[in-house]
Amino acid sequence: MTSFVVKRVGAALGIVVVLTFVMFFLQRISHTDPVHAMLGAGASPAAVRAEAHRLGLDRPLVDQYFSYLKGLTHLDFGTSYRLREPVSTALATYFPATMELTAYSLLFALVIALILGVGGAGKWKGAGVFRAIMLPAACIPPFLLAMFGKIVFYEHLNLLPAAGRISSSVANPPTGPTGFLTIDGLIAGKPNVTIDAFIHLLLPALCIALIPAISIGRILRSSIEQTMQMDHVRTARAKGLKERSVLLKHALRNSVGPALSMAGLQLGLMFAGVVVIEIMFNWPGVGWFLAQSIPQGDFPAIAGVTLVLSITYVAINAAVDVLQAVADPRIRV
Amino acid sequence: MRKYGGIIQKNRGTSHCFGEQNRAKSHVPSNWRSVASFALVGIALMASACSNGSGGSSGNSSATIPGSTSHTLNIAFTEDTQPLDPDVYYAGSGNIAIQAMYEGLVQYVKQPLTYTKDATFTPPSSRTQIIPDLASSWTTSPDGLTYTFTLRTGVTFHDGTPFNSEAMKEDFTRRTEVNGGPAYMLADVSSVDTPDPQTFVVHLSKANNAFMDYLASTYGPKAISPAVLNAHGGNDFAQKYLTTHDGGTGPYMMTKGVSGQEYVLSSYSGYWDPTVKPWYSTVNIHIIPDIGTQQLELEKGQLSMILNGLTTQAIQSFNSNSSLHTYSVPTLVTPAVWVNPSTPVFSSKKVRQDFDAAIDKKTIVDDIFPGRAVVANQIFPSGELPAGSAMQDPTYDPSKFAKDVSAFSGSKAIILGYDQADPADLPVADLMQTELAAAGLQVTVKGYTDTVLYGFPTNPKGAPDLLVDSNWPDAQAPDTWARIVMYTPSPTGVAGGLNYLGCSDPAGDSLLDQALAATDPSQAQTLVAQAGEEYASYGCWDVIAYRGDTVVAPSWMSGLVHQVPIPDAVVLADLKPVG
Repeated sequence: MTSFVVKRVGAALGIVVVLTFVMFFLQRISHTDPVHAMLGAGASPAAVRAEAHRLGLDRPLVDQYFSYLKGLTHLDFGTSYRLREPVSTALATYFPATMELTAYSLLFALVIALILGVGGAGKWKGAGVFRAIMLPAACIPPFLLAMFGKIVFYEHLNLLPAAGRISSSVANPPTGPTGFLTIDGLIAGKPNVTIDAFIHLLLPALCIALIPAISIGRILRSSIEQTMQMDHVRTARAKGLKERSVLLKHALRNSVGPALSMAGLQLGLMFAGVVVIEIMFNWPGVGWFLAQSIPQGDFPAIAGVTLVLSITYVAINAAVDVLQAVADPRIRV
Repeated sequence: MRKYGGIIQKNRGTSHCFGEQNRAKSHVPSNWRSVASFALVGIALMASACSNGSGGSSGNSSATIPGSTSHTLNIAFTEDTQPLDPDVYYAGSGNIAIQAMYEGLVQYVKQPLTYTKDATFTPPSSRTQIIPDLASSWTTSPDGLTYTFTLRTGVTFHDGTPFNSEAMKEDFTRRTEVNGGPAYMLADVSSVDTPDPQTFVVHLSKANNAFMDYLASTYGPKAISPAVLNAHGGNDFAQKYLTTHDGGTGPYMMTKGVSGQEYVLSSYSGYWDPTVKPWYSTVNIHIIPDIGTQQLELEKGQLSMILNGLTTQAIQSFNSNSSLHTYSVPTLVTPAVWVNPSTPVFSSKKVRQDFDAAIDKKTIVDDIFPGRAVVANQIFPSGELPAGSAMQDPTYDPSKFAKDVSAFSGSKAIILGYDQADPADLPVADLMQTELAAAGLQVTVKGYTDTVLYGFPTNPKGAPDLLVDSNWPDAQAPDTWARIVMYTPSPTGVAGGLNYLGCSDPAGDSLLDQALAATDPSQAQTLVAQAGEEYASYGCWDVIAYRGDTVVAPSWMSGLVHQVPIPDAVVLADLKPVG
C-alpha cells in the first residue's frame, strides 16, 4: 500500500512540474509584452525595461524558470502584473469563494444523484420518468443552464440573485475563519450572512451540480439494479420486507461505492468547470480572477490559478485512487 | 458583491417565496425525509429569507427603476486592470473613481449631459477649456519654460493633512520615481520650486506646449497626501497602500478596496469647495465584466447606471424603456485602422492612400455605431484642431484599391486584426473584411489582446497586416494623440506606444517635434496641422469615426456632467435624483 501511495503522489507531482514547464515556456515564447501593457501606451522604453528588470523578466529563460519553481516551494507564485500584489495573496482572497461554491455544488450533486439514482432504479411507475430526465439533462451545458437560470429565476421570477457572493447591503460580512460565508456567518452569530450567502450560491451551485449529478446518478442506478439481483436482497424480499425497505436498507448501502468513486472524479471536474460559471455569475472565485487576468497577459496570475486548480484536480484523483485501492485491494494489481 | 437591499425592503410582507413548498414537506413519506432533508433545509432558509426580508430579491420587474431616494449609488467597472493610484492608473473604467478621489492643479471644464429622446450624438467641435482646480491661477513665462501656480488655501487631504506646494512637489517626485505609464508627462520637468506654501513653480528643460494639458489630464499628476506617502511609502512609494486606499483631496475617498472585486467610496465631509455637496454619500463600485449582467442589474435596480461597454443592440433596447434615459456622451474616442507598411501589398504610399479611400466609413458608422458616432474627416480626434485642418477625408472610391490589388502579383492573403478589449472593433473588422474581399484580398480576421499588440512595435514578427482599434488620447493636446499613435517607436524616445505596426514617417515626426516646442500658439497649431497632413498622406493610420460613450441611467437621475477628454466617466459629486 505504501509503495502504491508513493507512486500515485510521485506521478501527481510529476504532472504538476510538467504543467509548470509547459505554461512557463509557452508564455515566454509568445509574442507578448505584458510589461508594456501593464504600464500603458505612454510608458517609455526605459520605464518598460526598468519594470521588466524589477520583475526579473530580463534574466535568462532557464534562470527565470528555476526561480519560479523555487518560489513555488514557498508558495510564492510571483507578483500579479494587474493587481501589483503577490498572486498568493490574491489566491487567498479568491480561492475560498471557489471552494465554497464547489463544496455546495458537490452537496447538491450528491442529493440530486441520490434522488435520480434511487428514483430511477426501482420498479415503480415513476422510475421511467427519472430515467427519462437523466438523458436530456446530461446534455445541457452548464453555461446554457446558467443563462436559463438567470433569465427565469432572476429576470422574470425575481427569486434569486444572479451575481456576486453576498448582497452589499449586508454590513461587515465576516472574513474568516473558514472563508465559507455560509459557515462564517453562523460562527460570527450573523445568520443573515449565512442566509444571504446561501441564496447567492444556489443558482451557480445548481448549474455546476447538474451534470455531475446525472453522472453519479446513473452509476448509482446501475449499481442498485445489480445489487437488487443479489442473493441477500432476494432473502430480504423472502422475509416479507416492503420493496422500499429492501431498496433503502439492503440495496442502497451496498450500491453507493461506485457512485462515491464517480463523485470523487466529478469533484475534480467541477473545479475545472467552475471557471465558466464564476464568470457568468460574477462569482469572485479563482475562475473569475483567471478570466480577468487572461486579457491582461498576467502570467503569474494565470499560472497561479492554473496550478492551484490542477493541483486540486490531481490531488482529488490521487485520493480517489488511493481510497479505491483501500476499498478494493485488486486495484493495486 | 451585489446589493439587493432596496428590492428586499420593497417586498417585505409579500408571499411569493416558498411557503407552500415548505409546508408540503409534512406530506413526504417518512422514508424519503432523510433523502430530501438537505434540499428542504435550503428551501427553509430561502423561505426564512423571504419572510424576514434579509436576503434574496423579489418584486416584479416593474417599469420604475428603484433607488431614487437612496443615498447609495451602485456602479460597475467592466474591468479592473490597474490599481486606482493616480501615478499608476492608465486605463479607462477607473477614471470615474480617480476623478472623484484625486485632484490636480488644473482640470478640464465640466459640461452637462442633456437627455434627448433620440440620443443625438454630436462630437466635440473645439478644445475643452482648462480651468483651475487646486491651483486658483497660473502664469506661463514667454519662453514656455516656467509655469507658476498659485494654490488654493483651505484644501485638506482625506487624512486631514493640509494641501500646499510641498505636497505637490512630493507628488511630482513620486510620479517620476514610480515611473509608470503616465510618468512621461513630467519627463521635461527639470526642477520645481516652492517659494511659499501657496506658490508652486515648475521649470521645464525644453518648451512643451502640451504641458498644461498633461496637468489637466485624468492621467496627469494629482495631489497625494505627503503624510500617506511618508507613512506607507515602504520600498514601493506607497503603491501597495494606494491600491486599496486613497490619499487625495477630492469629494470622495476610498473606504473599502478589494482589488479586482469592489471599491467603496464615501463622500468627504471636509471637501474644500462649499458649492460641491455630493448627494450620494456612498458609491459602491462592483467589477462586472459581463455587460449582459450589468444590463440585468440595471433593469432590476441593483445598478444605478451603466457607464460604458454597451453594444448597439443593448442601447437600442434601452431607448425603448421609458424608465431609463440614454445619453450620448461626446468623447475623444477614435476608431481607426492601422496599416502595416511591411506587408507587400501595402508597401507603397499610393496603395495605402487608395486603401484609405476604399474604406466605407459611412457604412461602418451607420451599421456599427448608429447614433453614437460620426464619420471622421481629420486625422486627430474631433475638436483638437480647427475644422478644415489635418484633413483625412478621401472621397469613397474602392475602385482604385481594387485595381492596385489586381495588379499586385504577390500574396493577397492578409490578416485583419482587431483589439479584443473593445467589443466594437470586431464588427468593424468584419465589415471591412467584406469590402476587402470584394477588392480581391483573402482576408482572415483575428483578435489580439493588448499584451500581444504592445509586443509588435519591438517584435513585429506575426503582426497583422491591418489592425482595427479604438483609442483616445491621454489629453486634448493634438500631440498626445499623434505622439503615441503615429510617432516612430524608438528605443530611446518616449513615444509610439500605440504605433502597433511600427510605421515610421520621419517628416511627420519632425513637424510634430517642432510643433510641441513652439511657444506661439498659432504657430504650434499650424505645425501640428502640417504634421497631421503629412501623417494622413503617409497612409499608415486611417481614422474612421469620432465616437462617443453611451451612458444609461434611470429617468429619475439628474446632474450628469462630464469632461470631454475623460472617457468612461461622469462627475460623481454632481449626480442626484431629479428635484
